[in-house]
Amino acid sequence: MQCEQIQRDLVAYQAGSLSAQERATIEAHLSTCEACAGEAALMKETSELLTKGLKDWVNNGVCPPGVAERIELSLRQASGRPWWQRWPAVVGVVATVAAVFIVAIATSPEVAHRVASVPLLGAIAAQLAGPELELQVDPQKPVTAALFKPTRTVDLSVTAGADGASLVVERLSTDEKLLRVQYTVRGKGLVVGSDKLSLVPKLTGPEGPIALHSYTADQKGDEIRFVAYFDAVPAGSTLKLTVPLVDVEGGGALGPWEVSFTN
Amino acid sequence: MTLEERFFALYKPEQNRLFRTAWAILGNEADAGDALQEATIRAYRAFNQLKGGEAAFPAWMRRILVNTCTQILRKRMKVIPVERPEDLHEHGSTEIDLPMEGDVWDAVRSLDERYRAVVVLRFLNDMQLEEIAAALDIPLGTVKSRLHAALKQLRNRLHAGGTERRGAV
Repeated sequence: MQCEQIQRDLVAYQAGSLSAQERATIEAHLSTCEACAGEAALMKETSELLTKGLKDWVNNGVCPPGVAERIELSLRQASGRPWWQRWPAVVGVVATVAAVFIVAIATSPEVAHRVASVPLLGAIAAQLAGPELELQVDPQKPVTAALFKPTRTVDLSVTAGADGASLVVERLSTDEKLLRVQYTVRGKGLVVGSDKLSLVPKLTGPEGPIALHSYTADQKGDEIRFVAYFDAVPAGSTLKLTVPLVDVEGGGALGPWEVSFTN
Repeated sequence: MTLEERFFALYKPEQNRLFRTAWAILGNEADAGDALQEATIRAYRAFNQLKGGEAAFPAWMRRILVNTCTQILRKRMKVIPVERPEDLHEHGSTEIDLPMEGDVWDAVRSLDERYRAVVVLRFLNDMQLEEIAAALDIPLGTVKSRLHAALKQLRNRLHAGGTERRGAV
């Protein structure tokens, strides 16, 4: 066998990936060829350096805090899966009962609130009609329509972007602690996706960014309806909503959008 | 202790190593973060399938991460053309452009993705060549030729660094 071929097979030989016969051929050659024996020794030394160097590098690393936080958040959300996803056997029965409420719930958060107040059935209906995407910033204290009792509502129709890709802010509602912003983005082929962090909206008031508590996103054809809950702001404040890029089916994205309005 | 707390108590001490493992395989920190997030969720959902008790967790978790990373690589590599023999030779000639600090990771990260991936899977994750071929969906012969070419590129660089260090003492 030629030296070139032997040297090409040294990696597999040292990894133990050759048959007994191939191994014997190489060993016979190495015992008589100084050049290939030297090459084998050098390759072995390089392999050992690589193994030690890479393992040392891995053992001395630090996961960036941002990544660690993101993972912890997604883990909490994964552990908070609705019970009906874990126990699919009961879905059929529950779905039949709760389906009655789904249409009503889909129409407005106020209806959701009334339905949610019905013992048991409200909870079941809320689970089944849950949004496609939901982010709770603090999963221990979830903020949803069922817990929100608005005392003041402003209907708007503030639009940003063109017909092909637009954002419309439709309604602002306020209770003692929270401001709910309902808005819709429209564009051909828009898809919600599964990354909760990619669609996080930003709301800025006269004194800077306003803390987000939760948001949900629901797809209806080529539009995605969002409901986001922020810290409450005083009436009459000028607010700026920024909505990040939304993926388009088959690649690409539309947006981002930015729109200002008065609470 | 809830399931989530039990999982997190086992996962947290491994997180730094896992992140760097993903970084080594994928070549950049952003993809490593995404892969680790995906692998962690997968592992959590399969946590009740963990065999061998808590002692088996680190290897089990690492295997899920490596699988997640190689899936990403497979998709990525589909858009990279298959190398021809002359490409291997051409790539070898870039040795002289590598930085000369003698640091192993610096040398490995300088490799083309196709070579870096097989080097990391072989020498960091101790995978057999047949496993690497299956994980990356490439022929065994390609794994061998990539490793051979990568080692040739790396050895002068690493041995040069070692010589410099020894000379400096």
